[in-house]
Amino acid sequence: MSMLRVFILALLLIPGAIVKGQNIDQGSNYNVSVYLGMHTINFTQILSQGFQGLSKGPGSVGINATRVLEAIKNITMGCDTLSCLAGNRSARSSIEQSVKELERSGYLDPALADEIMSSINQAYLSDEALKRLLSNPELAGLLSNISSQGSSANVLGILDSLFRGGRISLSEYIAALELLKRFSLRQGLESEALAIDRMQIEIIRQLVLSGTAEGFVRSLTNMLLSSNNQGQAFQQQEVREGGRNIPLTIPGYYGYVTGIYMGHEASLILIALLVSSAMVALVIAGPLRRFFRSPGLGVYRRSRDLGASEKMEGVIAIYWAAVSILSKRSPRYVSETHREYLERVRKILENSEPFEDLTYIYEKVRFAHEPEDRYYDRAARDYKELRGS
Amino acid sequence: MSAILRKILEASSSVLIEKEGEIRLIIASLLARGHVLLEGVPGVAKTLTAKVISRLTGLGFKRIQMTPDLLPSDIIGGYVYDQRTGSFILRRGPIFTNILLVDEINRASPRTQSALLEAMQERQVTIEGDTYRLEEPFMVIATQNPVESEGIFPLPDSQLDRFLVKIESSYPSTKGFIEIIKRIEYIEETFEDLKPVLSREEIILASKEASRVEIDDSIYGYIAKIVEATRSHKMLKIGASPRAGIALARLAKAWAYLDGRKYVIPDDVKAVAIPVLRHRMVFKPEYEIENPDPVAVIREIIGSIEVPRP
Repeated sequence: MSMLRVFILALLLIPGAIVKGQNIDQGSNYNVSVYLGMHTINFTQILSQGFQGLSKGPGSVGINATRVLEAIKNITMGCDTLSCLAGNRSARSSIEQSVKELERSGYLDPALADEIMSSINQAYLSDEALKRLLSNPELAGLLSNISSQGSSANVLGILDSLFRGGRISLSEYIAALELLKRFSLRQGLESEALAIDRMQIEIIRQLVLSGTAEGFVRSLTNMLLSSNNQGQAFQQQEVREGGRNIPLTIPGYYGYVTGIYMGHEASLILIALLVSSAMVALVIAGPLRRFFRSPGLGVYRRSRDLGASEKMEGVIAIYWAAVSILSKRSPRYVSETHREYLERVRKILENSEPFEDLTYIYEKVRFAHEPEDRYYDRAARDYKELRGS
Repeated sequence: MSAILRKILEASSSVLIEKEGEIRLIIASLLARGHVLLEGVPGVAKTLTAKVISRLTGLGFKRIQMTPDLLPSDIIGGYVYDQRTGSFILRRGPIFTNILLVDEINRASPRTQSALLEAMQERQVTIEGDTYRLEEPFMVIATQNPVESEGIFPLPDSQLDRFLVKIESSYPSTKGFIEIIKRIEYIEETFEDLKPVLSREEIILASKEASRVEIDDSIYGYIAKIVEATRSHKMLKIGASPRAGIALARLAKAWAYLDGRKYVIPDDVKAVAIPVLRHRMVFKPEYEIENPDPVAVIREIIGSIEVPRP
């Protein structure tokens, strides 16, 4: 079944070639010339001929398998798996380098790094696999539907949805992206290819983050945040602001790319590798839960009922609740510090004193770890004033 | 603002115009036990800035004008024959001071540069097998002209890495420029009358206190992300080294200390990231030919990295 998915995804990319098929100037750019080193003349025509008959519906025998295979093989440059692209300047090497860097920096366990690389290398693209899938009637039916889709932006969106929905695995996603990237380069759409390159790296980053204690804790935090409106607002805001930190070059892709999350299948595989991280998470789950449930977010508890550490956690929660309110008027960017944000919102607030004071208290508690009892009450007062204004 | 910085800025304001940023960075580097590379075209008060700081801090000051024929022994010293005693005595070179101004460092031969940079790193010199520790605080302020291309020996990347910060000394604004022209006589007179506002002991104590400034674990993580991002940036062949990360943390502490805080915030890291990282990155050849701006790359990286959250 997984072979089928890879091939479906590979062919998701093809209709665009038929629609947009144009000759490109091979000598105009170094990247393009590298990628098109094995360029076959009349690629798009071959592909179009291969797909003649698709409109006849599921189970159609109108597909000229040989022609389609010829074209696909041309896209993949004859590589069976992504690992054979190691010599390529910007394709697999960027991912591999990212993984190695993370491993070298101690963020990634060597065993997990191997697992990731193995996952990348097993993105099957072999002729045999493709040939088997091409004879599948289910695939033929799907192809006829897919072929009506025109733009590569749609293809990318479908791909992302499939991954997010857990319907394709990580390695399938990477393989499909790889094919889409090569297709984009073939069409001379370098900026699209660059965006896809970054998506691949981002996927690896997500994978790596989830494979460490930090990633696990972050997932837990997100989960807890999602359980209340404040957290949801933060998440939505981050997504709107490109909080996934993907420097995009194509505005049209924005909605898709910023929403990359781990697919269920990939997450399941990783959970097996996360036993040690889970231990860490369990230890801190209690404080985290208290942190997000307690003071400031909705229900104020009386100051005397709280311990020193709860009060500190409460101050931090109150600050972020205040940011959430202000974000409706002026969203906070992920790379923005608390002081930078204060400078910006100061201009839009009629009375900025409560938020100034809250920011000051937050800084003292968050970064100086000052266990001042009075900070909690001050923060709560500031928050009430801010809501009232 | 800490008392140290306030005193220095107040005292220097009569002599240095529009140099507050540079002074703050140099003082922070001094407290962080680092060295400074000042880059700027001739005539933008690089030397004057270094001299003013040494005077106001009450520290020993020496200056070396680098030339291609300068030898390592001209900097670190050596044994010379004393005819009166009939024995060899040690003649210490100008490196035995607190603040050493090395003018036009890229004019010296690689051999001499290497000897100097080794002393900077080790904070000691070896003369004919005998090791001598340099007195604390010790800081080298090296200057270089960015536009010259003949008769110079550019510092290799590995040696640039030894400088804690690279500060680009720029032209003053028109308003500042006019003020300099109007007040030049007064500035020259005032400079001669400058008196120390700090003592060596105060500097050493401040340096120790700065090293004890607290950094939250999440800030360490933030620093690591910034440094690592330079290694995967598409335009860079070589990103920042672990030494750069250490430098970033150390200078952020000193920066926070000069702001009168005993803890570091993400703003401190952002404030010092450009001077710490700008000279530690190597661009890929295909981008190098376009004369890329490292500051823009650092800004892009910082703009893409999430600051510590709860």
